[in-house]
Amino acid sequence: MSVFLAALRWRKQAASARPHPGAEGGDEDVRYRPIEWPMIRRLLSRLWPYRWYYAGGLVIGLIHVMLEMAGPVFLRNIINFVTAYAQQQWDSIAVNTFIIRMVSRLVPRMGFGEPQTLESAAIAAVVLIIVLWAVVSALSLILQRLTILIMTWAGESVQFDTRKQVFAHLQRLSMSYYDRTKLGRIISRCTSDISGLREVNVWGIFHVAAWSLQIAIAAGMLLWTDWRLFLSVAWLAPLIFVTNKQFRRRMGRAWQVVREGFTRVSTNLAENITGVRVVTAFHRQDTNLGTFNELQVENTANNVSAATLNGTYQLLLLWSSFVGRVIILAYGGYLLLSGQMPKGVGAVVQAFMYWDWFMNPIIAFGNFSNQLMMAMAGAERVFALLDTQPDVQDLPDAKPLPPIKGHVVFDHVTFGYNPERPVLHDVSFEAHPGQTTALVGHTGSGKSSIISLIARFYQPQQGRILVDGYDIAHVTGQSLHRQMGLVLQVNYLFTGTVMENIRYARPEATPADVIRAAKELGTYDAIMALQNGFETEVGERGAAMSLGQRQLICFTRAYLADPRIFMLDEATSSVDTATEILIQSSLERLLQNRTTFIVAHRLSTIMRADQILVIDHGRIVERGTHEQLLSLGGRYANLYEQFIRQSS
Amino acid sequence: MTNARLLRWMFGFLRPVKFLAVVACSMLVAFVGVEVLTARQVGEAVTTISHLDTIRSELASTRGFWAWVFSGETVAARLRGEILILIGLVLLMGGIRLAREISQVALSMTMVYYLREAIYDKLQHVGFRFHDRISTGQLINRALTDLNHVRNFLQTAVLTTFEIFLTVGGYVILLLTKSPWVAALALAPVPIWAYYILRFGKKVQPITRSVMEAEDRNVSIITENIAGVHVVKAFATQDAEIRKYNRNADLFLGRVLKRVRMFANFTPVIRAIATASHLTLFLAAGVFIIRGELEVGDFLVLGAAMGSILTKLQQVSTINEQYQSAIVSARRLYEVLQAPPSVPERPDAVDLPPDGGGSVRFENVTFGYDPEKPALKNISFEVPAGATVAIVGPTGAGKSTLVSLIGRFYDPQEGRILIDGIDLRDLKLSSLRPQVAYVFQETYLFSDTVEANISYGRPHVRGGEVEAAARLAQAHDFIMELPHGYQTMLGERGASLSGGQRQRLAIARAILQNPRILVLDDATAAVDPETDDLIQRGMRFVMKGRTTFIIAHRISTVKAADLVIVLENGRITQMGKHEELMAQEGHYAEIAAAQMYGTAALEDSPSHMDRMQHPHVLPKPRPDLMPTQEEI
Repeated sequence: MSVFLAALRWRKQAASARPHPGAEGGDEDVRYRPIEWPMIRRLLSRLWPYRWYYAGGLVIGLIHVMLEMAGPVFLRNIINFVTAYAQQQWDSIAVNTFIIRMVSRLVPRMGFGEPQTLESAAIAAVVLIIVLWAVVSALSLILQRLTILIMTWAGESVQFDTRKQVFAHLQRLSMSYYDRTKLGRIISRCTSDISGLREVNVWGIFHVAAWSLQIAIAAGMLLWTDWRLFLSVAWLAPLIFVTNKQFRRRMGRAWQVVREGFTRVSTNLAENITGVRVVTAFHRQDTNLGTFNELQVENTANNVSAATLNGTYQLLLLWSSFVGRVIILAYGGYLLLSGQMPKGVGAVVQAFMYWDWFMNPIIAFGNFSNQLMMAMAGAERVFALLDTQPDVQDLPDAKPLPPIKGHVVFDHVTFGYNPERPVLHDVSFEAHPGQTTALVGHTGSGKSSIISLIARFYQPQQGRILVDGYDIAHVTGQSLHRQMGLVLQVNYLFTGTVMENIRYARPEATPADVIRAAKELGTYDAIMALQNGFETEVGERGAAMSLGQRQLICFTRAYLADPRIFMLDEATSSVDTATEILIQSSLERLLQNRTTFIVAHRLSTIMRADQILVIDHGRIVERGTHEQLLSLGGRYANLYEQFIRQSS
Repeated sequence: MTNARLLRWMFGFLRPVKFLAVVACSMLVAFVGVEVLTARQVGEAVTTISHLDTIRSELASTRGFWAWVFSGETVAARLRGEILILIGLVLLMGGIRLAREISQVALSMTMVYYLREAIYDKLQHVGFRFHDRISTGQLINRALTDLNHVRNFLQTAVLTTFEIFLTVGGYVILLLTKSPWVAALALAPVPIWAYYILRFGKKVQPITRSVMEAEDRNVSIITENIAGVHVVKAFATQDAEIRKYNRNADLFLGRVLKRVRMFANFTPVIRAIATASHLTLFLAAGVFIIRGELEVGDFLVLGAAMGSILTKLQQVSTINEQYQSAIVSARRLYEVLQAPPSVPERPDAVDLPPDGGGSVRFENVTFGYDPEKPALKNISFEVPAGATVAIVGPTGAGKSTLVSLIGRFYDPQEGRILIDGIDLRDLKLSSLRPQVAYVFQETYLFSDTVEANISYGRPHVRGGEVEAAARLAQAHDFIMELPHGYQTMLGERGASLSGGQRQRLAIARAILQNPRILVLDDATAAVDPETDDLIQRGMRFVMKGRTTFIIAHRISTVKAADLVIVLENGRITQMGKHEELMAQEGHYAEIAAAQMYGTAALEDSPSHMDRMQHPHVLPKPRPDLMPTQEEI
């Protein structure tokens, strides 16, 4: 109880809204977007291949709706019939209906229109009406099943077409897209944003059609029952629609606040568990609990606010629905009693029931427009992704690169991830087949960019990169990459076995090939030492492997691919001595007879290189072999001395 | 732990919110009661107007319709009363609906508040041994997801079950007042319906799980593909990736459709049962009315009753599902909440005497995370107050384990550790921990401002003192270069720092703590050599008057220590001053030699190029700004 009171108190204080640390930044995606026709058209165009299924489902579904809506008519007939029997009045038009006339003809000795009808005959008549009703209901249920099957089949097919299309498009996008878009964002494009479209793709069209039909039929039936009765409640419809929409919007906002508040609670909790060692060491438990409880009180307050809003909304819905019912009951009663409603008491009940049919779709439309707005926001993001053009793609006249020797030339290359801020300025160098080039320099000097450009992850703004004399901008990416190998600092593995990972670059390689490659490279024993040898699962993104093991697997993968040009971004993190020695020796074998570029972090690697390029602020400031550069006494010599001094 | 006992334990969470639970339940009772009465009232009104013959005769005796309505005639008065009561009931129902909503949320939120608080506090105090055993991800999951399962269940178990019974009971009583036969007929489909829903729930569960599996796989394929985009592009395997994705997408779609088919078969059946029972009841009512045993309005009462009962029963399957997951979750929560603290405080624990200088004594200490496999064996040494101890040795020798015992993160299995002559186990944790400050190997910073992170151990310290500590840790200059200086937010949404910068903040944090004992666990591993040098210089002020433990790889760092402990395989193999150890044969002399001659192979330090980075942006030493010991 005290918590609840604290929450209420908090709500009062929060009136002078205090900003939250980290709450700004607007990192969350837009959740709502106005419904616009071009977007709808584009969404609908995706349904086009399945148009016949949608059409069929729609027709069957609408028949189902109509059959289901016949219920009140049957009920009216039963009620009017039994009332007429009870009061022995067979002269009113209330019982002169198609159903009752048909039934009375079927039941012998009922003597329709005669006051002395037998009780058993009357019962038989009721049974007959019920049977008729049951037949209609059964038909309706069968059609419902068909509708569900057809609509979901078509809708889910569209959903999965979109999924596949988005994934395939992602494969075409350039590295620059991945640089500027966070992983989480891309994943929500592929998952939640597409799931959000489900509402439109599967049931959207059907709902709009079925609800419109329901409103039309219910209104029509109300009108047919009695036009005055219809007018007495129809004015409630727009009122309900507007109220519903307003409340939905406000509740959307309230839930957003709840979500944000809860995120703060869960983030605090997660952080505290992750950093529990620091928490313990600095004895912060009590302070932290205080902070946490403050967030909890806020969370409680937000929830109570949202609940109050929701409660008020439910209350208004309840009341407006009951206002209609009471009006129908009272006014219908008046009409009935004052003799202005010849269709009998059953008609009042029928109106009573159609009122629900009339009102529910109006509420549903309000909710749907909200969902639609959410789907629109998702659709906009998905379409934006599909509309993104890759910066680097094969030119129309691109030719496949023939088998190469591995001669690489940088010809006055200038490049920047942002064209206005180049990270490489007018870089030129040459690497002969089989040569090892070490790239040395500080973080951010442009070493990794050189590697990325050779791999054609990006397009230079100026200059050319030639491989065996071919400008790589004019060859197909596929043929280029097939002859290249790359091992990055983050030794990336895919979920699966070691074997699968090594074969990744050459899926056609047999297990024997893999084993031979591992033996040649000297990584065989290390892999066999794993729990299940080559069949060991590496875990998600290789999490089950140590850093050193991952690196060895990546080396073997690159070795099996047998590229002419090999690029390595050497890992900076340390591994134990035995593995380090193994890595060095296998690296040596891996480099043999290949043109190699290494972003180097280890002195031994640098000293081994045929050519060292010292990069500083995007320019090559020194180049040559280890000895040459040392004797130069420049920046490289400086770096070298610093290292030597430190280790002594 | 049986399910029944677990259930009882779970219901214990409701104890602190008894009052709210009672309020929420009474609201529920009131609501269902009013709902049933409203349905009855509608029926009554319809019945009244269906007696046209009586009314017509009354109408004949008054002048006009309105005159009749406000006349004293029996039917008129009844109808008037009935409509008024109906309006009253509806207004009341709305009010109770609102009160019910709020009281339920208040109940659930308060319960969750206490539960979360308990878990949070437990996790903070339970000790490292527990955290070693259960991964962070798992614990977060328990505190969020599992707790939510339990909460959902308690809420549903108490309220929805109650509501189902109330609704079914309420309407059955209402029908009983009409006719016992009708009531019996209304109850008849309930068991069939419930059975079918439960059976369907069980049948659909494995398929739902398989859909979720395909969905998880879908996400993980995307995640891996995007996180490994370099590899995909470098090996030109886009087509293979697309094939892999599409294969899973087809499988996924197949399972989704299979699940849809189940629902497409289930929904009409469940509706068929509902329709059948509705129709049977209408038939029965028709017959009873013909026989004069029921009134026309009862049709409406029956319709409302059946509608409500069957709608409520649909929730049975949800309760079952929630029960299943709550039991699993409760077991996991139990494991957390009932875990004994790994370093319990004695009831008669004492404070650390205020005048101690921080002498440390290990007496024959043996410790293992797993008692069967000790990581430290028979460790004994003594450090006088204010001395500096360096601990060296290969990876896995037990260096970090040894220093973690000083802050009593674990209790040794054998032997004891004394600070200023008092056994750690006799000390209050609140008095011990602030006196031992750590700089851990892996720096953990919180998403808060730089300033708040530095003053983490002394939350109320701000401004000058924080800055002084940052200067000593060589962190001030780079902090000033951050967009908002000391007020810059760190963490997920804030600025990202390099490993070296993070480490310096951790050092500043430890300095500000002003501890008796300072523990630096490989604290400068990610810092480049020049900055390391500057930090060491700053640390000289800080270490004065404190006992300091340093785990380090660089002999240059270790040289100045008062005592060097060489740890190998959990045992002390060498102990003494740098010069003494250099004179002995052994690990120490070996690594010293290796570092001297530049072959880093023997030593597991980070690679040198790391340290070669950014020599030109190093902050210049500012001796004029160095604070003195007093300022800290």
